[in-house]
Amino acid sequence: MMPMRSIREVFIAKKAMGGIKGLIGYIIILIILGSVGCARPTGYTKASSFLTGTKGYGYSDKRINGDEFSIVVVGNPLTSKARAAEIALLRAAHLTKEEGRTHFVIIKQKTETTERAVLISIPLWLGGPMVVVPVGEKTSREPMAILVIRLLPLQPAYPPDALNAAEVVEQIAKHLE
Amino acid sequence: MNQFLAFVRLILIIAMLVVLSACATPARPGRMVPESALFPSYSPDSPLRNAIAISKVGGGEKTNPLLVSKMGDEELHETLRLSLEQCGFLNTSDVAAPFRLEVFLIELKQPRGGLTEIVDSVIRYKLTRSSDDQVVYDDIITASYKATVGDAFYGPHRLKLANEGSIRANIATFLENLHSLNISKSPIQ
Repeated sequence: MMPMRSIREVFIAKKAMGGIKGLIGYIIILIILGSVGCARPTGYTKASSFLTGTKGYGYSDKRINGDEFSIVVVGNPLTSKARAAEIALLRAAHLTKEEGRTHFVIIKQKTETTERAVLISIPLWLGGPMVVVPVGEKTSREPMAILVIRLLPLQPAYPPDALNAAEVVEQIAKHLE
Repeated sequence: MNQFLAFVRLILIIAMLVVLSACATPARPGRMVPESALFPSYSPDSPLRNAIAISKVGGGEKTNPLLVSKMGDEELHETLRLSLEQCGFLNTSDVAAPFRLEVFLIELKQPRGGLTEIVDSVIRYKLTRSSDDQVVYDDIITASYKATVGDAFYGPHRLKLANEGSIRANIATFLENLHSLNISKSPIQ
């Protein structure tokens, strides 16, 4: 037979339950605010792979050999292909400056639309801990811009297809901010 | 409260067991070679027959067992070797081969969890004629592969299957392009 709980115990339990309910309310508000706050196109930012091992949105680059580099930009579903391409071009210009050069040429360029499966889940609270239950999946489209560039050595005159890194930064940086 | 703590403890134990029992492993070259039946037969007089040596493979990333499955340079090199050999393009001599192939894995776009894992691979293939150092083919190929719960129930394994499928599709496109490439063996005078 279960012992009867005193009025004091019942009061404390009710108070704790009220606290948990309040906490859940705050969590839901925080999730909504977080999703609204993130609803903007990808900016000029390095794609981070911290902890997860898979990259997020933004740019990444690799040295192919010598003066050749590849740059990849993956944007969130709110980012246009044109914006992703501009971020890639801006990164190319910054990379050129970081390497102590002034001009670069584009060897290859490509823009693609990739797909990502996004899990749709709902939080369920069944009296105990809150459980997030997956209820379905949707596919979102993300733009990807790819550039292969070659940095040009410092020289008095540059070929006509060469891009001036300083000019590219000046033209693109303003409207990406 | 005790029930809640017991539940949390159980979840943590399961998580630890999963981590310990199944570390991430790299993609397997044998699973990334496209099927030869997919390609059209080509002329025995083709200048690319037994003519391509793999001179450089880069851009890959080694798999950290505690994180997710990746594609390393060694796995990509071995896959390319097997694929070219299967199609009759491979020349094992780095010096005497009429054509040199440079391959660079620009990107392996992987998902961050989920039931359906979609992986996109971006690879640059550059084929150079050795006799005159002329680039006869230079292209970036992108390919995608979708692995579902039906392919593998365990997430990290599903991701590995998606990686392998994406690289396989990418190499298949490259081989198709090679079959339709119209080039001469000697430099154009």
